[in-house]
Amino acid sequence: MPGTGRTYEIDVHHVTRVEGHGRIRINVRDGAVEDVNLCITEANRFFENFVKGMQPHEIPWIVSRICGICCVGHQLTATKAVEAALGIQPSVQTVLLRKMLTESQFIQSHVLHVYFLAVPDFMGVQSVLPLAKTHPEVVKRALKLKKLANDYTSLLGGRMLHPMANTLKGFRQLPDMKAVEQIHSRFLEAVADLEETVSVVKSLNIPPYERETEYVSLKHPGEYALYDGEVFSSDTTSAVPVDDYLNVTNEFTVSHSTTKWARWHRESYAVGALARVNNSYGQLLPPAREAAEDLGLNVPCYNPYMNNVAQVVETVHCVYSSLNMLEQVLNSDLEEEDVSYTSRAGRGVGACEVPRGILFHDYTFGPDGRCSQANAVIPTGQNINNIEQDMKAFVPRMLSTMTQEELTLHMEMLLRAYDPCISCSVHMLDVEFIE
Amino acid sequence: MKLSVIGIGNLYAGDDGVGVRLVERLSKRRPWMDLSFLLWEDTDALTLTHDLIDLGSPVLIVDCADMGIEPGEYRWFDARSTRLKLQTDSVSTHGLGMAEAIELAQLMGFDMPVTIFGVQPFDLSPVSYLSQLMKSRFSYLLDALEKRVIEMVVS
Repeated sequence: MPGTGRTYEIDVHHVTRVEGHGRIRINVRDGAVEDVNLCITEANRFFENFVKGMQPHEIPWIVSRICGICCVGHQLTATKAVEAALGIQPSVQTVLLRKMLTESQFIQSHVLHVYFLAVPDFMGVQSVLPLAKTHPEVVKRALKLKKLANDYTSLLGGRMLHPMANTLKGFRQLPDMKAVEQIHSRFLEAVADLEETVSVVKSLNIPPYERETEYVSLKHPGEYALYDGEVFSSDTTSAVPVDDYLNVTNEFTVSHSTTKWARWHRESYAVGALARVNNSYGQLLPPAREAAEDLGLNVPCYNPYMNNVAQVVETVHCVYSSLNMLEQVLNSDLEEEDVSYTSRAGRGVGACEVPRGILFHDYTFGPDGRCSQANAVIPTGQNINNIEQDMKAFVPRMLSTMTQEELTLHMEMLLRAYDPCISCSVHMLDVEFIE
Repeated sequence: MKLSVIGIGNLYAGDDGVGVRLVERLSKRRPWMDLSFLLWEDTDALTLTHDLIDLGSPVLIVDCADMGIEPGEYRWFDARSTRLKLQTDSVSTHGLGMAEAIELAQLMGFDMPVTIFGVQPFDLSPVSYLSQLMKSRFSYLLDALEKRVIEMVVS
Protein backbone atom coordinates (compact mmCIF):
# COMPACT_ATOMS: atom_id res chain seq x y z
CA MET A 1 0.00 0.00 0.00
CA PRO A 2 1.47 3.42 -0.91
CA GLY A 3 2.59 5.59 2.01
CA THR A 4 -0.01 8.38 1.76
CA GLY A 5 -1.29 9.44 5.18
CA ARG A 6 0.86 6.97 7.09
CA THR A 7 3.49 7.51 9.76
CA TYR A 8 6.61 5.41 9.77
CA GLU A 9 10.38 5.41 9.91
CA ILE A 10 12.62 3.65 7.46
CA ASP A 11 15.93 2.85 9.07
CA VAL A 12 18.43 1.01 6.91
CA HIS A 13 21.38 0.60 9.20
CA HIS A 14 24.38 -1.32 10.56
CA VAL A 15 26.74 -1.50 7.68
CA THR A 16 29.83 -3.20 8.92
CA ARG A 17 32.10 -3.74 5.92
CA VAL A 18 35.61 -2.60 5.25
CA GLU A 19 34.56 0.16 2.90
CA GLY A 20 32.76 2.06 5.66
CA HIS A 21 29.44 2.31 7.42
CA GLY A 22 26.30 3.75 5.89
CA ARG A 23 22.77 4.19 7.13
CA ILE A 24 19.62 5.55 5.53
CA ARG A 25 16.97 7.11 7.81
CA ILE A 26 13.64 8.35 6.53
CA ASN A 27 10.91 9.68 8.84
CA VAL A 28 7.41 9.96 7.46
CA ARG A 29 4.62 11.55 9.55
CA ASP A 30 1.02 11.71 8.37
CA GLY A 31 2.11 11.07 4.81
CA ALA A 32 4.70 13.88 4.77
CA VAL A 33 8.46 13.46 4.82
CA GLU A 34 9.89 14.87 8.04
CA ASP A 35 13.52 14.00 7.56
CA VAL A 36 15.87 12.12 5.25
CA ASN A 37 19.45 11.39 6.29
CA LEU A 38 22.29 9.45 4.75
CA CYS A 39 24.51 8.78 7.74
CA ILE A 40 28.10 7.72 7.13
CA THR A 41 30.10 6.54 10.12
CA GLU A 42 33.41 5.64 8.56
CA ALA A 43 36.41 5.63 10.84
CA ASN A 44 39.47 7.64 9.89
CA ARG A 45 41.83 5.55 7.76
CA PHE A 46 44.96 7.53 8.78
CA PHE A 47 46.71 7.07 5.40
CA GLU A 48 47.51 10.78 5.30
CA ASN A 49 49.47 10.27 8.49
CA PHE A 50 51.03 6.95 7.46
CA VAL A 51 52.89 8.60 4.60
CA LYS A 52 54.43 11.38 6.67
CA GLY A 53 58.19 10.85 6.79
CA MET A 54 58.18 8.59 3.75
CA GLN A 55 60.35 9.01 0.69
CA PRO A 56 58.55 10.19 -2.47
CA HIS A 57 58.65 6.91 -4.42
CA GLU A 58 57.17 4.94 -1.48
CA ILE A 59 53.98 7.00 -1.34
CA PRO A 60 52.14 5.76 -4.48
CA TRP A 61 52.62 2.12 -3.48
CA ILE A 62 51.43 2.73 0.08
CA VAL A 63 48.36 4.80 -0.76
CA SER A 64 47.18 2.31 -3.38
CA ARG A 65 46.16 0.27 -0.32
CA ILE A 66 43.48 2.85 0.48
CA CYS A 67 41.15 0.82 -1.75
CA GLY A 68 41.20 -2.69 -3.19
CA ILE A 69 38.96 -1.65 -6.07
CA CYS A 70 40.52 1.72 -6.94
CA CYS A 71 44.13 0.77 -6.09
CA VAL A 72 45.32 1.77 -9.57
CA GLY A 73 43.62 5.17 -9.35
CA HIS A 74 45.08 6.00 -5.94
CA GLN A 75 48.52 4.91 -7.10
CA LEU A 76 48.45 6.94 -10.32
CA THR A 77 46.97 10.04 -8.70
CA ALA A 78 49.63 9.93 -5.98
CA THR A 79 52.32 9.39 -8.61
CA LYS A 80 51.17 12.49 -10.48
CA ALA A 81 51.03 14.56 -7.29
CA VAL A 82 54.51 13.49 -6.16
CA GLU A 83 55.94 14.08 -9.64
CA ALA A 84 54.40 17.56 -9.62
CA ALA A 85 56.05 18.28 -6.28
CA LEU A 86 59.44 17.12 -7.53
CA GLY A 87 59.17 18.72 -10.97
CA ILE A 88 59.27 15.36 -12.78
CA GLN A 89 57.82 15.20 -16.29
CA PRO A 90 57.04 11.59 -17.32
CA SER A 91 57.78 10.47 -20.88
CA VAL A 92 55.17 9.97 -23.60
CA GLN A 93 55.69 6.21 -23.26
CA THR A 94 55.04 6.31 -19.51
CA VAL A 95 51.88 8.38 -19.92
CA LEU A 96 50.61 5.92 -22.55
CA LEU A 97 51.17 2.93 -20.25
CA ARG A 98 49.53 4.76 -17.35
CA LYS A 99 46.48 5.55 -19.46
CA MET A 100 46.18 1.87 -20.32
CA LEU A 101 46.50 0.96 -16.64
CA THR A 102 43.77 3.51 -15.85
CA GLU A 103 41.40 1.98 -18.39
CA SER A 104 42.07 -1.54 -17.10
CA GLN A 105 40.74 -0.36 -13.75
CA PHE A 106 37.69 1.30 -15.27
CA ILE A 107 36.69 -1.84 -17.17
CA GLN A 108 37.24 -4.04 -14.13
CA SER A 109 35.37 -1.79 -11.71
CA HIS A 110 32.46 -0.89 -14.01
CA VAL A 111 31.86 -4.54 -15.01
CA LEU A 112 31.96 -5.52 -11.35
CA HIS A 113 29.49 -2.84 -10.36
CA VAL A 114 27.04 -3.06 -13.24
CA TYR A 115 26.80 -6.84 -13.38
CA PHE A 116 27.33 -7.88 -9.77
CA LEU A 117 25.80 -5.01 -7.78
CA ALA A 118 23.33 -3.13 -9.97
CA VAL A 119 21.86 -5.73 -12.33
CA PRO A 120 20.62 -8.01 -9.49
CA ASP A 121 18.50 -5.05 -8.26
CA PHE A 122 16.83 -4.66 -11.62
CA MET A 123 16.29 -8.39 -12.00
CA GLY A 124 14.64 -8.63 -8.61
CA VAL A 125 17.22 -10.80 -6.86
CA GLN A 126 19.27 -10.17 -3.74
CA SER A 127 22.73 -10.89 -5.13
CA VAL A 128 24.71 -12.48 -7.90
CA LEU A 129 24.17 -16.03 -6.54
CA PRO A 130 20.51 -16.40 -7.54
CA LEU A 131 21.31 -14.57 -10.77
CA ALA A 132 23.90 -17.25 -11.59
CA LYS A 133 21.16 -19.83 -11.39
CA THR A 134 18.57 -17.99 -13.48
CA HIS A 135 20.86 -16.11 -15.89
CA PRO A 136 24.15 -18.07 -16.03
CA GLU A 137 25.05 -16.64 -19.45
CA VAL A 138 24.92 -13.09 -18.05
CA VAL A 139 27.20 -13.96 -15.13
CA LYS A 140 29.61 -15.92 -17.34
CA ARG A 141 29.96 -12.92 -19.64
CA ALA A 142 30.60 -10.67 -16.66
CA LEU A 143 33.24 -13.03 -15.29
CA LYS A 144 34.94 -13.17 -18.69
CA LEU A 145 35.05 -9.36 -19.04
CA LYS A 146 36.27 -8.93 -15.49
CA LYS A 147 38.98 -11.55 -15.97
CA LEU A 148 40.11 -9.74 -19.13
CA ALA A 149 40.37 -6.46 -17.23
CA ASN A 150 42.24 -8.13 -14.35
CA ASP A 151 44.74 -9.66 -16.76
CA TYR A 152 45.14 -6.28 -18.47
CA THR A 153 46.03 -4.71 -15.11
CA SER A 154 48.49 -7.53 -14.38
CA LEU A 155 50.11 -7.12 -17.80
CA LEU A 156 50.80 -3.43 -17.21
CA GLY A 157 51.13 -3.25 -13.46
CA GLY A 158 52.86 -6.54 -12.73
CA ARG A 159 49.96 -7.83 -10.70
CA MET A 160 46.21 -7.49 -10.47
CA LEU A 161 45.88 -5.84 -7.06
CA HIS A 162 48.13 -3.01 -5.88
CA PRO A 163 50.38 -3.15 -8.95
CA MET A 164 54.05 -2.42 -8.39
CA ALA A 165 55.44 -1.81 -11.90
CA ASN A 166 54.50 1.87 -12.07
CA THR A 167 56.74 4.27 -10.18
CA LEU A 168 57.93 7.87 -10.36
CA LYS A 169 59.20 8.74 -13.88
CA GLY A 170 58.22 5.44 -15.45
CA PHE A 171 57.77 1.71 -15.14
CA ARG A 172 60.12 -0.66 -13.34
CA GLN A 173 58.95 -3.47 -15.60
CA LEU A 174 57.61 -3.18 -19.14
CA PRO A 175 54.82 -5.40 -20.47
CA ASP A 176 55.83 -8.52 -22.38
CA MET A 177 55.06 -7.99 -26.07
CA LYS A 178 53.69 -11.51 -26.62
CA ALA A 179 51.30 -10.95 -23.75
CA VAL A 180 50.33 -7.59 -25.28
CA GLU A 181 49.47 -9.40 -28.53
CA GLN A 182 47.39 -11.97 -26.67
CA ILE A 183 45.46 -9.41 -24.68
CA HIS A 184 44.84 -7.40 -27.85
CA SER A 185 43.20 -10.50 -29.39
CA ARG A 186 41.08 -10.98 -26.30
CA PHE A 187 39.94 -7.36 -26.46
CA LEU A 188 38.85 -7.90 -30.06
CA GLU A 189 36.82 -10.92 -28.92
CA ALA A 190 35.34 -8.85 -26.08
CA VAL A 191 33.54 -6.55 -28.52
CA ALA A 192 30.77 -9.14 -28.90
CA ASP A 193 30.45 -9.36 -25.11
CA LEU A 194 30.09 -5.58 -24.97
CA GLU A 195 27.24 -5.69 -27.46
CA GLU A 196 25.50 -8.28 -25.29
CA THR A 197 26.15 -6.12 -22.23
CA VAL A 198 24.45 -3.16 -23.91
CA SER A 199 21.48 -5.41 -24.74
CA VAL A 200 21.16 -6.58 -21.12
CA VAL A 201 21.32 -3.05 -19.72
CA LYS A 202 18.91 -1.78 -22.37
CA SER A 203 16.32 -4.24 -21.06
CA LEU A 204 16.51 -2.88 -17.50
CA ASN A 205 13.77 -0.64 -16.21
CA ILE A 206 15.60 2.45 -14.92
CA PRO A 207 13.61 4.53 -12.40
CA PRO A 208 12.66 7.83 -14.07
CA TYR A 209 13.63 10.30 -11.33
CA GLU A 210 15.57 13.46 -12.19
CA ARG A 211 17.06 16.38 -10.26
CA GLU A 212 19.09 19.09 -11.88
CA THR A 213 22.62 18.65 -10.58
CA GLU A 214 26.06 20.20 -10.84
CA TYR A 215 28.35 17.64 -12.45
CA VAL A 216 32.09 17.88 -11.82
CA SER A 217 34.79 15.97 -13.66
CA LEU A 218 38.18 16.32 -15.26
CA LYS A 219 38.06 17.74 -18.77
CA HIS A 220 40.80 17.63 -21.37
CA PRO A 221 40.84 19.46 -24.71
CA GLY A 222 42.21 16.48 -26.61
CA GLU A 223 40.53 13.40 -25.21
CA TYR A 224 37.84 11.91 -22.95
CA ALA A 225 39.46 12.87 -19.65
CA LEU A 226 40.31 9.95 -17.40
CA TYR A 227 44.04 10.26 -16.65
CA ASP A 228 44.47 13.99 -16.99
CA GLY A 229 42.68 17.32 -17.34
CA GLU A 230 41.37 20.34 -15.44
CA VAL A 231 38.42 20.42 -13.05
CA PHE A 232 35.23 21.20 -14.99
CA SER A 233 31.82 22.19 -13.65
CA SER A 234 28.62 21.79 -15.63
CA ASP A 235 27.25 24.85 -13.77
CA THR A 236 29.88 27.28 -15.08
CA THR A 237 30.88 25.27 -18.18
CA SER A 238 34.44 26.23 -17.36
CA ALA A 239 37.43 24.54 -15.75
CA VAL A 240 39.91 25.41 -13.03
CA PRO A 241 43.43 24.01 -12.53
CA VAL A 242 43.78 20.88 -10.42
CA ASP A 243 45.93 22.88 -7.97
CA ASP A 244 42.75 24.77 -6.98
CA TYR A 245 41.00 21.62 -5.81
CA LEU A 246 40.41 22.92 -2.27
CA ASN A 247 38.25 25.66 -3.77
CA VAL A 248 36.31 22.96 -5.61
CA THR A 249 35.68 20.49 -2.83
CA ASN A 250 35.07 23.07 -0.05
CA GLU A 251 34.83 20.22 2.43
CA PHE A 252 32.62 20.66 5.47
CA THR A 253 31.20 18.50 8.22
CA VAL A 254 27.67 17.56 9.25
CA SER A 255 26.58 16.04 12.52
CA HIS A 256 25.32 12.73 11.07
CA SER A 257 28.41 11.83 9.05
CA THR A 258 32.06 11.26 9.84
CA THR A 259 32.86 11.68 6.15
CA LYS A 260 33.53 15.24 5.09
CA TRP A 261 30.95 16.52 2.63
CA ALA A 262 31.62 18.66 -0.43
CA ARG A 263 29.93 21.49 -2.36
CA TRP A 264 31.02 23.91 -5.05
CA HIS A 265 28.58 26.20 -6.85
CA ARG A 266 25.39 24.93 -5.16
CA GLU A 267 24.40 22.80 -2.18
CA SER A 268 26.09 19.69 -3.60
CA TYR A 269 27.69 18.25 -6.71
CA ALA A 270 28.08 14.84 -8.30
CA VAL A 271 31.15 13.08 -9.65
CA GLY A 272 31.44 9.75 -11.44
CA ALA A 273 30.51 8.13 -14.72
CA LEU A 274 27.37 10.20 -15.33
CA ALA A 275 29.25 13.43 -14.55
CA ARG A 276 32.01 12.51 -17.01
CA VAL A 277 29.61 11.47 -19.77
CA ASN A 278 27.59 14.67 -19.27
CA ASN A 279 30.69 16.88 -19.30
CA SER A 280 32.73 15.17 -22.03
CA TYR A 281 30.16 13.40 -24.19
CA GLY A 282 31.63 14.70 -27.45
CA GLN A 283 34.98 13.12 -26.65
CA LEU A 284 33.66 9.60 -26.18
CA LEU A 285 34.76 7.30 -28.98
CA PRO A 286 32.04 6.75 -31.62
CA PRO A 287 31.09 3.20 -30.46
CA ALA A 288 30.56 4.56 -26.94
CA ARG A 289 28.35 7.38 -28.23
CA GLU A 290 26.38 4.81 -30.24
CA ALA A 291 25.95 2.75 -27.06
CA ALA A 292 24.74 5.86 -25.21
CA GLU A 293 22.16 6.56 -27.90
CA ASP A 294 21.07 2.92 -27.92
CA LEU A 295 20.67 3.01 -24.14
CA GLY A 296 18.74 6.28 -24.16
CA LEU A 297 21.42 8.28 -22.38
CA ASN A 298 20.94 11.79 -23.71
CA VAL A 299 23.04 14.60 -22.24
CA PRO A 300 22.54 16.47 -20.08
CA CYS A 301 21.08 13.62 -18.09
CA TYR A 302 19.93 14.42 -14.55
CA ASN A 303 18.76 10.94 -13.56
CA PRO A 304 21.28 9.49 -11.04
CA TYR A 305 20.00 5.95 -11.66
CA MET A 306 21.45 6.38 -15.18
CA ASN A 307 24.95 6.32 -13.66
CA ASN A 308 24.87 2.55 -14.22
CA VAL A 309 24.14 3.17 -17.89
CA ALA A 310 26.96 5.71 -18.06
CA GLN A 311 29.28 3.05 -16.63
CA VAL A 312 28.39 0.74 -19.52
CA VAL A 313 29.02 3.57 -22.00
CA GLU A 314 32.44 4.19 -20.42
CA THR A 315 33.23 0.47 -20.53
CA VAL A 316 32.61 0.52 -24.28
CA HIS A 317 34.81 3.62 -24.58
CA CYS A 318 37.62 2.06 -22.56
CA VAL A 319 37.61 -1.20 -24.54
CA TYR A 320 37.90 0.62 -27.87
CA SER A 321 40.41 3.13 -26.49
CA SER A 322 42.49 0.28 -25.07
CA LEU A 323 42.44 -1.48 -28.43
CA ASN A 324 43.90 1.69 -29.97
CA MET A 325 46.55 2.01 -27.27
CA LEU A 326 47.48 -1.69 -27.44
CA GLU A 327 48.02 -1.24 -31.18
CA GLN A 328 50.24 1.77 -30.47
CA VAL A 329 52.34 -0.34 -28.13
CA LEU A 330 52.53 -3.20 -30.64
CA ASN A 331 53.74 -0.78 -33.31
CA SER A 332 56.44 0.71 -31.12
CA ASP A 333 59.55 -0.46 -29.31
CA LEU A 334 59.07 0.12 -25.62
CA GLU A 335 62.28 1.31 -23.96
CA GLU A 336 63.51 0.78 -20.43
CA GLU A 337 63.60 4.19 -18.77
CA ASP A 338 65.75 5.63 -16.02
CA VAL A 339 63.53 5.91 -12.95
CA SER A 340 66.12 7.46 -10.62
CA TYR A 341 65.19 10.83 -9.18
CA THR A 342 66.30 13.45 -6.69
CA SER A 343 63.96 14.48 -3.92
CA ARG A 344 63.50 18.09 -2.90
CA ALA A 345 61.19 20.33 -0.92
CA GLY A 346 57.92 21.22 -2.58
CA ARG A 347 54.21 20.62 -2.91
CA GLY A 348 52.29 18.89 -5.67
CA VAL A 349 48.65 18.14 -6.44
CA GLY A 350 47.47 15.36 -8.72
CA ALA A 351 44.03 14.41 -9.99
CA CYS A 352 42.74 11.44 -11.97
CA GLU A 353 39.31 10.18 -12.73
CA VAL A 354 38.70 6.85 -11.01
CA PRO A 355 35.55 4.79 -11.63
CA ARG A 356 33.57 6.57 -8.90
CA GLY A 357 34.68 10.09 -9.84
CA ILE A 358 37.43 12.63 -9.56
CA LEU A 359 40.21 11.84 -7.07
CA PHE A 360 42.62 14.41 -5.62
CA HIS A 361 45.96 13.76 -3.90
CA ASP A 362 48.16 16.49 -2.44
CA TYR A 363 51.67 16.01 -0.96
CA THR A 364 54.20 18.37 0.58
CA PHE A 365 57.87 17.45 1.01
CA GLY A 366 60.18 19.13 3.50
CA PRO A 367 63.82 20.18 3.13
CA ASP A 368 64.87 16.61 3.96
CA GLY A 369 62.94 15.38 0.89
CA ARG A 370 60.46 13.43 2.99
CA CYS A 371 56.70 13.84 3.10
CA SER A 372 55.54 16.35 5.67
CA GLN A 373 51.88 16.81 4.71
CA ALA A 374 49.31 14.80 2.75
CA ASN A 375 45.67 15.08 1.73
CA ALA A 376 43.38 12.85 -0.32
CA VAL A 377 39.80 13.70 -1.33
CA ILE A 378 38.00 10.65 -2.66
CA PRO A 379 34.97 10.55 -4.98
CA THR A 380 32.60 8.88 -2.54
CA GLY A 381 33.23 11.69 -0.04
CA GLN A 382 32.32 14.22 -2.73
CA ASN A 383 29.15 12.33 -3.70
CA ILE A 384 27.62 11.65 -0.28
CA ASN A 385 26.10 15.12 0.05
CA ASN A 386 24.61 14.86 -3.45
CA ILE A 387 23.14 11.43 -2.75
CA GLU A 388 21.36 12.81 0.31
CA GLN A 389 20.06 15.77 -1.73
CA ASP A 390 18.72 13.27 -4.31
CA MET A 391 17.01 11.31 -1.55
CA LYS A 392 15.44 14.47 -0.14
CA ALA A 393 14.12 15.37 -3.59
CA PHE A 394 12.91 11.91 -4.59
CA VAL A 395 11.32 10.56 -1.38
CA PRO A 396 8.38 13.01 -1.40
CA ARG A 397 7.76 12.18 -5.07
CA MET A 398 7.94 8.44 -4.45
CA LEU A 399 5.91 8.47 -1.25
CA SER A 400 2.47 8.66 -2.82
CA THR A 401 3.03 5.82 -5.26
CA MET A 402 5.28 3.36 -3.42
CA THR A 403 5.01 1.01 -0.49
CA GLN A 404 7.62 1.18 2.26
CA GLU A 405 9.38 -1.80 0.72
CA GLU A 406 9.48 -0.22 -2.72
CA LEU A 407 10.68 3.07 -1.28
CA THR A 408 13.42 1.33 0.69
CA LEU A 409 14.54 -0.58 -2.39
CA HIS A 410 14.63 2.60 -4.48
CA MET A 411 16.74 4.36 -1.85
CA GLU A 412 19.20 1.47 -1.74
CA MET A 413 19.26 1.37 -5.53
CA LEU A 414 19.94 5.11 -5.60
CA LEU A 415 22.87 4.72 -3.22
CA ARG A 416 24.20 1.79 -5.24
CA ALA A 417 23.75 3.68 -8.52
CA TYR A 418 26.49 6.05 -7.38
CA ASP A 419 28.72 2.99 -6.88
CA PRO A 420 30.03 4.26 -3.55
CA CYS A 421 32.76 2.35 -1.80
CA ILE A 422 30.19 1.52 0.85
CA SER A 423 27.93 -0.16 -1.72
CA CYS A 424 29.22 -3.60 -0.76
CA SER A 425 27.89 -3.00 2.71
CA VAL A 426 24.57 -1.65 1.57
CA HIS A 427 23.80 -4.97 -0.09
CA MET A 428 23.72 -6.70 3.29
CA LEU A 429 21.60 -4.15 5.12
CA ASP A 430 18.67 -5.08 7.27
CA VAL A 431 15.57 -2.95 6.98
CA GLU A 432 13.64 -2.00 10.07
CA PHE A 433 10.20 -0.39 10.00
CA ILE A 434 8.81 1.39 13.03
CA GLU A 435 5.10 2.08 12.65
CA MET B 1 40.98 -36.76 -15.98
CA LYS B 2 43.75 -34.40 -14.97
CA LEU B 3 43.68 -33.17 -11.36
CA SER B 4 44.47 -29.52 -10.65
CA VAL B 5 46.16 -28.84 -7.33
CA ILE B 6 45.69 -25.19 -6.41
CA GLY B 7 47.48 -23.37 -3.62
CA ILE B 8 45.60 -20.29 -2.45
CA GLY B 9 46.71 -17.64 0.00
CA ASN B 10 48.41 -14.37 0.75
CA LEU B 11 52.17 -14.70 1.12
CA TYR B 12 52.22 -11.41 3.02
CA ALA B 13 49.84 -12.51 5.77
CA GLY B 14 51.89 -15.04 7.72
CA ASP B 15 50.29 -18.48 7.86
CA ASP B 16 47.66 -17.46 5.29
CA GLY B 17 50.30 -18.30 2.67
CA VAL B 18 50.67 -21.90 3.81
CA GLY B 19 48.55 -23.26 0.92
CA VAL B 20 50.67 -21.58 -1.74
CA ARG B 21 53.91 -22.70 -0.08
CA LEU B 22 52.74 -26.31 0.34
CA VAL B 23 51.67 -26.66 -3.30
CA GLU B 24 54.86 -25.01 -4.55
CA ARG B 25 56.96 -27.46 -2.52
CA LEU B 26 54.80 -30.44 -3.49
CA SER B 27 55.21 -29.68 -7.20
CA LYS B 28 59.00 -29.97 -6.83
CA ARG B 29 59.07 -33.01 -4.59
CA ARG B 30 58.86 -35.57 -7.37
CA PRO B 31 57.99 -35.87 -11.06
CA TRP B 32 54.19 -35.85 -11.35
CA MET B 33 51.95 -37.09 -14.15
CA ASP B 34 48.31 -36.16 -14.80
CA LEU B 35 48.58 -33.26 -12.42
CA SER B 36 48.78 -29.52 -12.83
CA PHE B 37 49.90 -27.23 -10.05
CA LEU B 38 48.55 -23.70 -9.78
CA LEU B 39 49.46 -20.96 -7.33
CA TRP B 40 46.73 -18.36 -6.88
CA GLU B 41 48.23 -15.66 -4.68
CA ASP B 42 46.76 -12.72 -6.54
CA THR B 43 43.24 -13.88 -7.21
CA ASP B 44 39.94 -12.37 -6.17
CA ALA B 45 36.89 -14.55 -5.68
CA LEU B 46 35.27 -13.78 -9.03
CA THR B 47 38.48 -14.67 -10.86
CA LEU B 48 38.55 -17.90 -8.88
CA THR B 49 35.02 -18.66 -10.10
CA HIS B 50 36.00 -17.91 -13.69
CA ASP B 51 39.14 -20.04 -13.48
CA LEU B 52 37.35 -23.00 -11.87
CA ILE B 53 34.85 -23.04 -14.73
CA ASP B 54 37.68 -22.61 -17.21
CA LEU B 55 39.70 -25.49 -15.71
CA GLY B 56 36.79 -27.91 -16.00
CA SER B 57 38.73 -30.56 -14.09
CA PRO B 58 38.64 -32.06 -10.59
CA VAL B 59 40.27 -29.65 -8.18
CA LEU B 60 42.21 -29.98 -4.96
CA ILE B 61 42.43 -26.65 -3.15
CA VAL B 62 45.07 -26.18 -0.46
CA ASP B 63 44.31 -23.22 1.75
CA CYS B 64 44.53 -21.78 5.22
CA ALA B 65 41.12 -22.21 6.90
CA ASP B 66 39.53 -21.40 10.22
CA MET B 67 38.00 -24.73 11.22
CA GLY B 68 38.10 -24.42 14.99
CA ILE B 69 40.72 -27.16 15.34
CA GLU B 70 44.24 -27.10 16.77
CA PRO B 71 46.55 -24.71 14.92
CA GLY B 72 48.91 -26.59 12.60
CA GLU B 73 46.38 -29.39 12.07
CA TYR B 74 44.60 -30.10 8.80
CA ARG B 75 41.25 -31.38 7.60
CA TRP B 76 39.98 -32.69 4.27
CA PHE B 77 36.68 -31.38 2.96
CA ASP B 78 34.57 -32.26 0.00
CA ALA B 79 33.02 -28.97 -1.11
CA ARG B 80 29.92 -30.84 -2.25
CA SER B 81 29.15 -32.49 1.07
CA THR B 82 30.47 -29.83 3.42
CA ARG B 83 28.62 -26.61 3.95
CA LEU B 84 31.23 -23.87 3.66
CA LYS B 85 30.32 -20.86 5.69
CA LEU B 86 29.30 -17.93 3.50
CA GLN B 87 30.66 -14.58 4.63
CA THR B 88 27.29 -12.87 4.45
CA ASP B 89 23.70 -13.85 4.00
CA SER B 90 23.38 -11.73 0.89
CA VAL B 91 26.62 -11.49 -0.90
CA SER B 92 28.55 -8.37 -1.84
CA THR B 93 31.38 -8.47 -4.34
CA HIS B 94 33.84 -6.65 -2.10
CA GLY B 95 33.39 -9.35 0.50
CA LEU B 96 33.12 -12.42 -1.70
CA GLY B 97 35.18 -15.30 -0.34
CA MET B 98 36.22 -18.75 -1.49
CA ALA B 99 32.97 -20.33 -0.32
CA GLU B 100 30.93 -17.97 -2.49
CA ALA B 101 33.33 -18.42 -5.40
CA ILE B 102 32.89 -22.20 -5.37
CA GLU B 103 29.13 -21.91 -4.94
CA LEU B 104 28.93 -19.45 -7.82
CA ALA B 105 30.95 -21.76 -10.08
CA GLN B 106 28.73 -24.71 -9.14
CA LEU B 107 25.57 -22.71 -9.81
CA MET B 108 26.90 -22.04 -13.29
CA GLY B 109 27.50 -25.66 -14.10
CA PHE B 110 30.94 -26.47 -12.72
CA ASP B 111 30.24 -30.03 -11.59
CA MET B 112 33.74 -31.39 -10.95
CA PRO B 113 34.76 -32.65 -7.51
CA VAL B 114 36.31 -29.95 -5.31
CA THR B 115 38.41 -31.29 -2.47
CA ILE B 116 39.84 -28.89 0.08
CA PHE B 117 42.91 -29.45 2.23
CA GLY B 118 42.44 -26.89 4.99
CA VAL B 119 45.19 -25.94 7.43
CA GLN B 120 44.39 -24.20 10.71
CA PRO B 121 46.72 -21.17 11.12
CA PHE B 122 48.72 -20.09 14.16
CA ASP B 123 49.30 -16.47 13.18
CA LEU B 124 47.97 -14.23 10.39
CA SER B 125 50.17 -11.22 11.11
CA PRO B 126 51.14 -9.15 8.04
CA VAL B 127 54.57 -10.69 7.49
CA SER B 128 56.07 -12.42 4.45
CA TYR B 129 56.90 -15.70 6.20
CA LEU B 130 55.19 -18.52 8.06
CA SER B 131 55.14 -18.51 11.85
CA GLN B 132 57.82 -20.60 13.55
CA LEU B 133 55.15 -22.98 14.80
CA MET B 134 53.75 -23.48 11.29
CA LYS B 135 57.28 -23.99 9.93
CA SER B 136 57.72 -26.78 12.46
CA ARG B 137 54.55 -28.46 11.13
CA PHE B 138 55.36 -27.96 7.45
CA SER B 139 56.90 -31.38 6.71
CA TYR B 140 54.03 -33.12 8.50
CA LEU B 141 51.50 -31.21 6.41
CA LEU B 142 53.42 -31.79 3.18
CA ASP B 143 53.63 -35.54 3.81
CA ALA B 144 49.89 -35.72 4.43
CA LEU B 145 49.14 -33.74 1.30
CA GLU B 146 51.48 -35.80 -0.86
CA LYS B 147 50.03 -39.10 0.39
CA ARG B 148 46.49 -38.00 -0.46
CA VAL B 149 47.43 -36.57 -3.85
CA ILE B 150 49.09 -39.86 -4.81
CA GLU B 151 45.93 -41.72 -3.77
CA MET B 152 43.77 -39.38 -5.79
CA VAL B 153 45.91 -39.70 -8.90
CA VAL B 154 46.03 -43.51 -8.65
CA SER B 155 42.31 -43.82 -8.07
